[in-house]
Amino acid sequence: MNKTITISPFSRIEGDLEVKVELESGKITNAYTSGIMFRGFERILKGRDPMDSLVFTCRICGLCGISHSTASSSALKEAYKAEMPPNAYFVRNILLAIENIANHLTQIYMFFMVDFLNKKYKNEPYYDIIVRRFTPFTGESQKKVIQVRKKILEIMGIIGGKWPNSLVIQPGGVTKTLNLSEIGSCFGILNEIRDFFEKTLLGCPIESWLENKSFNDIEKWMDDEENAKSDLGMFINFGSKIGLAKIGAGSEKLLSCGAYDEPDGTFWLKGGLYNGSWFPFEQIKVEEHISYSWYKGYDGGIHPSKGITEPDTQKENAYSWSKSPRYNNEVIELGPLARMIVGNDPLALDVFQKVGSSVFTRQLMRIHETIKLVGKIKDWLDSIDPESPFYIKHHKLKECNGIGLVEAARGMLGHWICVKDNRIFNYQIITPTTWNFSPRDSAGNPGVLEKSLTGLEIEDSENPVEMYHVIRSFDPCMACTVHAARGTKNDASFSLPI
Amino acid sequence: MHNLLWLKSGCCGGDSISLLNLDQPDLYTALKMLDIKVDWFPSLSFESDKDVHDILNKIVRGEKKLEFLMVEGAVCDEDDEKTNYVTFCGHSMKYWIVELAKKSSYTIAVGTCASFGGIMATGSENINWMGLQYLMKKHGGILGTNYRSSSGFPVINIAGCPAHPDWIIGTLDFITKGKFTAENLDKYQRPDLFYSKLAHHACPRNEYYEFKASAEEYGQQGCLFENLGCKATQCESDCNERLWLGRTGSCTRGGFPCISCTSPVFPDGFLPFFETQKIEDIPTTLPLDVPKAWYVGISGMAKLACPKRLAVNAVSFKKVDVEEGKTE
Repeated sequence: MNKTITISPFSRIEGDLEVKVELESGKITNAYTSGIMFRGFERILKGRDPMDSLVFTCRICGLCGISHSTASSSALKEAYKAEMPPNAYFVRNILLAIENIANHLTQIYMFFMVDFLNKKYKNEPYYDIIVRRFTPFTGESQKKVIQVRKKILEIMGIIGGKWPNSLVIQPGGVTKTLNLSEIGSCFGILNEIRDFFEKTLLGCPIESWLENKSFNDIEKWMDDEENAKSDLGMFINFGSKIGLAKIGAGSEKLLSCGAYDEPDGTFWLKGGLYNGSWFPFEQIKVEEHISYSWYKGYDGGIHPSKGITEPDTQKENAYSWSKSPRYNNEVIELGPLARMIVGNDPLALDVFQKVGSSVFTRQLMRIHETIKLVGKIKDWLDSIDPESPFYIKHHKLKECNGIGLVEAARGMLGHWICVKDNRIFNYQIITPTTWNFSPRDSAGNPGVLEKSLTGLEIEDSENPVEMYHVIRSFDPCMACTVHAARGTKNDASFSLPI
Repeated sequence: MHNLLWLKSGCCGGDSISLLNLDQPDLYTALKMLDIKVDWFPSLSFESDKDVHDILNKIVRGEKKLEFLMVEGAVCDEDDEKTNYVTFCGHSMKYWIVELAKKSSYTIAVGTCASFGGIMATGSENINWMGLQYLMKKHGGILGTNYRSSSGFPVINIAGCPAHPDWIIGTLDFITKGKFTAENLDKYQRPDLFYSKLAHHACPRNEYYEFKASAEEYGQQGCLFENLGCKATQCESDCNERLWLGRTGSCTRGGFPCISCTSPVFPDGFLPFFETQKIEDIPTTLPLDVPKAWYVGISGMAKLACPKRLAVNAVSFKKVDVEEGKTE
């Protein structure tokens, strides 16, 4: 018996997403993901003053503006041959860390955990605890997380002025000069939020969790009653019980461009391609395909520095405005899981080996990264020297090119700028969600999520909660999928008979 | 109990995120206090798919009341039968907004895109993005100039990129207390409670502003108005009094220029963003709260009277101690 499920709108993600799958005997045979909105920032940017990109690109996404700011200022920094003082690197890392923690907390609590309330699980043990803690708006943990989220964003306020849409990050550094008192307040806030992480999320000190280096260590950690009762403990227990470790395998090839760069050019989380072993990341191998996207102008893949964004609404077989980025022609997964594996985190490597790529692994690594970041910010705060500058003035160049790459919460974000006669001649953006949620490429290979959904068994096509887990584990940010997509109104003509 | 529906059209989601940052009290406490039930909010609600269609259809058919229709993002003026740049529940977003706005007691545009078109309405060829009742300063928008919600109000614009969470919840508070009248809307239909000040008011750099002690590059302590493009003297908002993110910051406190994001002509009315255009030595972007001739006269004198302490610190990234009472 064949059946098509289309879920639209898909709530509790960022932006608008439509997912369509074809089912055969309860198993997904084909999946198609589309955004349902066209925004087209690259076309808006053409012909503008290059500095305008700082104002426009952070407004692509209300969740990851600091990442877009970092990418666009880095692209301009390279283009204008600007220099940043050491303080600016530390401050930028703190801002990125705060934004990523805020994003992860939102995804973990407000988007992902809520699916545990699904009626399919109402007879599972602990369901009553799940309802009590994770019900939207009223759950015990939800109420705590909205508090801790805004508390940690106070560091963003002290440094970045406001958020979303701060302009604190510039090609020559950061516009905010921090004094000792402000640094002290940031330390204070970090200490205040520990309470949430240690009592609610973990049930143990942050440092104790970070001692876990293997799957075995986690099993031992779960033997402690306080840990098992915590929100993370509940995720591990309940998540395993409902089979999250068995669904949602992504790509075996994982990519990170390197996260949190230090003044000496090294990264706190190093970048590269992981494919069973590690290879250096070479941005020149990034290409975008448009065979199944509503674009025209070329066949196969082309590098974003030469990217073309020419809409073609009538294109046959196309089903998304999202392009298909590929690395060395291969389908690549990005995100916290990739960052942890590529960055050689022992816990991530062991869980990846024992459990494999799955919803469980992906989600556990997002939580793990959040905890690591909370522990790390103090080092960058400590490195700031308030007696030294935070910004170095730069000049504008008439003709230049630049690339800005950064690890946003959901994975690698890239901006490519080409300046001619003091104006933006071409600006191309590839967001992480474009990678993970891409349509098929010119060779017909499905994107990561499409592949991840294929083969998934759906118990009840009226309540495809299994799909919800898989999709939300990738934390889609459709606002960011700026090439975006046009929804097809005539979905019915596409559906197969039930 | 009141009810609320939040729709996202052409947007970045920044206003939803900003709402989550609400402080004093937090969002969940505020909703409880205001006795507002959220029927659907895309980022937070449990419901997806058919459940959402049901909610919308019930409202449109008149089987369910709708008090607050909140729209985030610009709306595309498109034919429901043809190309849909923003589709939602089987229709264009425009279709839903027009239909739901016929039923809502209050229709509220959240953010500059929904209010005036904002970033989305900038340079978009062939795509007619606009706000609910404005396209920049031009009245009309998606709902038309005669539109009134069932309570008799035009669209209430909570401009800002993003809107401050206090402005959103504060407006709802104002309305639910029964104290909100048409008199409380300014010339662009923004609640005057939040938009009758300038972002410049209470800026900690005001002492530098008064004596025209200006920063020459970012990172310095001086005023950002004269050289670095700050539009806070033109921006109608209470940002520097209210402050953001737990009352910790503002644009100018972060050291970067205000770009007047609450204005109907944001962003392109405020170019260039990072430098100040001048005729001779006089900025073309003169303050809204001082007569222009006076400003020109006073600023020349103020510069002459500038204490050395300010002149030196204006171009320093850190505080320098200078003997008091001396002028440059």
